[in-house]
Amino acid sequence: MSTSPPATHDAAYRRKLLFLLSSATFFEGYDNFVLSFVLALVLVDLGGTEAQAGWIRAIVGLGGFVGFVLAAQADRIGRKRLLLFTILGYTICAALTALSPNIAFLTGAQFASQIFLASEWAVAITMVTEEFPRNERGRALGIVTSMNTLGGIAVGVLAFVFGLLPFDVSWRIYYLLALVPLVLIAIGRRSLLETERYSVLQRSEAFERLDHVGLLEPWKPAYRSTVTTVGIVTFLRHAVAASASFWWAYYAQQEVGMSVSLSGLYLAAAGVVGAVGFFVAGRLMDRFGRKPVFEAYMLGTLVFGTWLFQIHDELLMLPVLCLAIAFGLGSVAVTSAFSTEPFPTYVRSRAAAWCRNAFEIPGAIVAPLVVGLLGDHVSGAIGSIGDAMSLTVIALIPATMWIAWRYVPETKDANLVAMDEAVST
Amino acid sequence: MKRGVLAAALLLLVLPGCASRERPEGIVERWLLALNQGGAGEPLRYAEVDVTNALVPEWRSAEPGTFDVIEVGKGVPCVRGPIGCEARVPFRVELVDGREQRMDAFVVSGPPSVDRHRRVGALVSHDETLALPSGGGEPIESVQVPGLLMAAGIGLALVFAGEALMRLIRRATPVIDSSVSRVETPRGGDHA
Repeated sequence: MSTSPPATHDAAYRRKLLFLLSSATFFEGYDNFVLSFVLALVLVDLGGTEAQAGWIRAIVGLGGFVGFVLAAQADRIGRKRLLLFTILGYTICAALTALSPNIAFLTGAQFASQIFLASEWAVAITMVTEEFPRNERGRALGIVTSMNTLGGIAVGVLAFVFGLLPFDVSWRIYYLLALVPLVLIAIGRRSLLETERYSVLQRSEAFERLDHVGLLEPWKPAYRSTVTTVGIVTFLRHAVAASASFWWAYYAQQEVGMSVSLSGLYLAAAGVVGAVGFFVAGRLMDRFGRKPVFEAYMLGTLVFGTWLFQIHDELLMLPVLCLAIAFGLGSVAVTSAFSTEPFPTYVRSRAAAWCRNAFEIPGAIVAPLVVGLLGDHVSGAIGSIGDAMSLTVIALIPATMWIAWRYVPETKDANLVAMDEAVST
Repeated sequence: MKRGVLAAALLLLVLPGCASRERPEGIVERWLLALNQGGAGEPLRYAEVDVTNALVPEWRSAEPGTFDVIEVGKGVPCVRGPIGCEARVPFRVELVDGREQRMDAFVVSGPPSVDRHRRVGALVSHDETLALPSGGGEPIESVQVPGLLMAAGIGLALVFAGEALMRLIRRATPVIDSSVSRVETPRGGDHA
């Protein structure tokens, strides 16, 4: 198998690639946040109740899970083609959302959006893993994953700007505005190349022999242990991160007594500061390895995640929120490496899709629901969202640390070329 | 046998957690949150219409986000109050223009005139002895040592479950893929 890279996959190309891939995670953050943000306005405009809002959230969330099937196609049709397909699909869905005549239509458009966004994420981190040399991979993953948080902050910035305008701005504008950069990115992505690793594999004799289609290929004995371990770790980590993200504003407003505007300001500020956590994780994992950095980040999550939901002082809240975001959300840079680097190219995208879409996304659906049920102020067994959240952190994070330390393979020095050659022979 | 005993013990631990009751503070809070959504929030699920009208007269046509702050404190059993009164719950709301209202809600039960059996039946001026959490008062609920122990126990159970699952999988799949992590190559990249 040839390992010579085409001349076009140079540092300048990788910088461009990083920019174009970052949009995938940016718009995932944007889309997830904008729906929560405008849902109340949507209900008034299109007519709907809070109970229906719960259904909208659940159905839209399922789209991310279904996205698993689409993400897995990157091993069959190639990374570049799927990436172009997903940005096109997401752009159309954003336009359809903006034009929604009723709640059912909006739910359908957002469900489809999530399918494309979830697949785009899996393909984006697969491409980063395959295109960046080992000593830069962590940094690149840190940058791409951090954009998710910045996408959420962009919604807050837009809301702030719209608030200064002398007239009311429709919720539809949030989706229409997203179309402009999306179209530009779609055009930019046409100049992307297929990843070097996938191209080499495609030219090899082994390509025909290997299974590029089967969704269960990552579950064959050679990979089963790693997929299970990484799946459990991503499920538990994301269960905590997603429920904390979902419930913090509620906790701050209902249990601490902070105003909507102050909690929004805190979230935006902490999101910007917390994004540093992604970059630092990327740098550190290139230097010290994936597992030590993950363990350190999980320890930070355990301490600051538990503390955050016990604070009743507005001043103390901000620094602890920054640290909780930096450690809790920043660790996704490491789990992105966990879910791609241990697998050979022919199955990598499907493995990443299993780890993220089939484990991580269900964690994000189930955990906020459980915290909500336990912490419900009317009938919850715990009766406090803050306490339910702190107890969730205490219950889940030590198990995450243990399983990761014991069973996730360290891939800092993993050689993707050697791995592909081993599979081919 | 041992597994049966273990399962029964776990069930005994978990079942009390499933037991639920209706906290009057939660009903007041849901009413205020629903009211903050305007008509879409359907606040009449939680309170009488005249009570709702008294707090936000034009709630049916109001835009979402009337309140910037909603804070509910720990309630006390009714000493005086309307018929069927169960609890007196302090709350404060701060409007987006900065105005603040502090009141106490009487949560009543009885023949329902709204969807919910327990509901906000009346509003009265705030009793200063009922402090809100932001003023140093008690939160609606707070976690106790048994709760912490249970969370730690669940964490420990998850560790054992994860360990058992991974051992089972590794025993069933003798081809261990950890070899990929031990490829000795010089630092600097996979590109030749």
